Amino acid sequence: MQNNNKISPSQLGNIIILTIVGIGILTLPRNLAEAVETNGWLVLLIGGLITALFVYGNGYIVKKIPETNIKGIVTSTLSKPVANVYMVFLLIYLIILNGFLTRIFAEVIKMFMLYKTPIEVIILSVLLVTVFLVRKGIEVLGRLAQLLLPIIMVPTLILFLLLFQGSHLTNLLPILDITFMEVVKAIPLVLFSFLGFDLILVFGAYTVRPDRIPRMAGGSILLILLFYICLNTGTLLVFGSEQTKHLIWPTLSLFKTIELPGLFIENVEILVMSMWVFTVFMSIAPLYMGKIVILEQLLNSKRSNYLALPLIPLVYFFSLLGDNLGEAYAILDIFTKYVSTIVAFGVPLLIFISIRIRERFKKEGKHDSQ
Amino acid sequence: MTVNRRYVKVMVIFIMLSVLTGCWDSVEIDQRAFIIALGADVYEPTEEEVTLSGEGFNEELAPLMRSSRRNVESTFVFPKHMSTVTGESEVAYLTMSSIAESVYINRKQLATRTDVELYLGHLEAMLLGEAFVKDETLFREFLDAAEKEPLMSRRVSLAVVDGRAKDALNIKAKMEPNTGDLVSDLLSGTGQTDRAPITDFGRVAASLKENGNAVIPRITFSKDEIKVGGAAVIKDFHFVGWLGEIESLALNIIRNNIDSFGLNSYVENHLVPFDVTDAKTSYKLLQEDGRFVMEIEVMGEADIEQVFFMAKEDVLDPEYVKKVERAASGAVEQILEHTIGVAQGELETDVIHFEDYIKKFKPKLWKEIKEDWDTIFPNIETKVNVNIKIRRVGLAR
Repeated sequence: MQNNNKISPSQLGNIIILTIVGIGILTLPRNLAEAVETNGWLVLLIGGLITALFVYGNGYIVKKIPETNIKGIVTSTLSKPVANVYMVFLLIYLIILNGFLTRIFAEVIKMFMLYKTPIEVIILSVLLVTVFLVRKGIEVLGRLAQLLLPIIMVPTLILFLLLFQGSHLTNLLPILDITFMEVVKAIPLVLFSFLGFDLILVFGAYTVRPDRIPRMAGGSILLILLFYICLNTGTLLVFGSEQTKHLIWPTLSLFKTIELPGLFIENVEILVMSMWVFTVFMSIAPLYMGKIVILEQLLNSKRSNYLALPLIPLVYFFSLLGDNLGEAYAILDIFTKYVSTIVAFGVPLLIFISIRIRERFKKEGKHDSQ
Repeated sequence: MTVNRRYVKVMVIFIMLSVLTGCWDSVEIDQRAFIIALGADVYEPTEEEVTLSGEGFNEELAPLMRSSRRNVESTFVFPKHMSTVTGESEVAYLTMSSIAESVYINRKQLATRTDVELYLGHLEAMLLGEAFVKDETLFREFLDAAEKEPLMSRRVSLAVVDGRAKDALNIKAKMEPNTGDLVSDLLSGTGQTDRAPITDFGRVAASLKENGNAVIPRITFSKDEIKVGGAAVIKDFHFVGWLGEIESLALNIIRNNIDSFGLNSYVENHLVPFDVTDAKTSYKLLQEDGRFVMEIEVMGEADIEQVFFMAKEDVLDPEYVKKVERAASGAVEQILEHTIGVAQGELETDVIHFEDYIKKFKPKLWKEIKEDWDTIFPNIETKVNVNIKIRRVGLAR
């Protein structure tokens, strides 16, 4: 069989885009409206640019230490024990994030479509499909992401245009009626809505032409930023900030208001829901793949197919954490605040600093020898 | 052999996946009743029923079933396939009512009398009885339930019936046998009138969240007709009164909800109706020594629809057209000023959305006056300035 473990930088970009969007899309407009009313675009812009810079840094790490898996990267920069601990943390982080995402996916499906189907069945079915996808290596994932991104993006853009029929431009006012501190306080919200970018470090070793990764990664974040700004603006245009605060999933409610006047299907709900299933599935699958890659490195194993199935019970368990939606969201909040700050932001930053310091020393060393 | 067996296995899985997907929730389409219109009223028991209700009543379940609060009588309109003697099926529109503590329980109760599943996904119109809207508890409970329902669209039409919603839904309208469809077509779509607020459930809910105020279209009905016109005015979730048809028209103009409308003017003893197209309204808030003055400016183009057969006046005479323009502007000014007066005086409710304007365009000022808005609004001075230009005059002079 040929080698299924190489993806192109653009495929990596596609994977990253779909992963991040799937995680952040549902509640972002509500959180922003709660924090800064109509000024979400400003916070998004600042937070997004910070994230883009940070993700560019992540890409830079992969570029500087190419062809090395994440364990190797951490080992060579922050020592081996740190690497082992970090890998375990990363694994737990991905499992919880994955579980939560699966839970929200299942809750929405149950609420809108399959009322009588037990949530456990929905969760298990989506996990089984995911395993089916990720068993055959990262290339399959990359190719599917490449295929699905346009399929999701084009109808979504058309739907965005349709939103304007029920919108009020003045809903975006007042502009800039906000203090500096309010913006600063809201920025973490935006940073956390880009969670999932840490997969760049995980998948970096499997990407050809690592020199192109930093730009590709940064560019992906900018693209998502653009999408988020559109989404946030669209939600405000239709609902206004007061109503947005009161909707649990403003994005879904938003797309549910779209009607195609005069067409045979007036309600585009089916289209919206299928787009959404695609997006979330393509968010669950890369996270799942990430776990397999990490587990494989932790166990120093060569083949990884057999690791896919045993992970299901773990993800399943975490997906059922929290007796109700409110509790699940509360657990996720605590989780993102502490765990993801360390895993997604802290450690990569340390790696980056360590690389820079080493380079400095190298240069100085060269200088001395001359 | 092995290849074949593998192929069979894959095919079996594939067929099972594609055929059995969603079976858990499968409902045959003729087993599902698509509720088109929903009416909610306060249930007023007759004296006979009040005395009867004590009998056969389970004391243990009493706290769950009944308290001092009033019950809801919901009416559901849905089409259903009826089999006839010849075996062919025909569609009938059924109207069924049920009495319970909430609309949700109503639906559950109705299941004891229907052989189909009641489905809200295609709901088009919700009608609330006058007494129902006047009961703040029931009204707010209803709004929340409607907003929480995942199947319902936020674009469902919402209206308040002058009378009981059940009676309105039970009439045999000559326009259309399906009352639910008729109501939703009247409230939205091409047959929409400009003499009732242009809105839907989602927008009413958003408006109520903003400040507790909203206008909801009014429905009146006779034995065989249903009419949409006028509006119910809600302040702090309380019903405070009705707006008439012309007042609703004026409100639509002030709030920039419509581009075109028709009105009468009088020019030199002749009645001159005109048809306005492209009406645009803009606001300006001025502060004159502590008082607030709101300048409302309406710009529009209009056509003359009628003057007088063989009249002395000539519609091609620019002087005469100027006169009509002045009269038309005056007529619009008059209805706008009247409506603002009603909102500030009788209703004391900011249905005009001055609040919205100040919030959006003068956020700093809004923060200062937010607390006292209820006392400030009735005292805001308004200057209405309408500028209508006559563009076309018809085919005859």
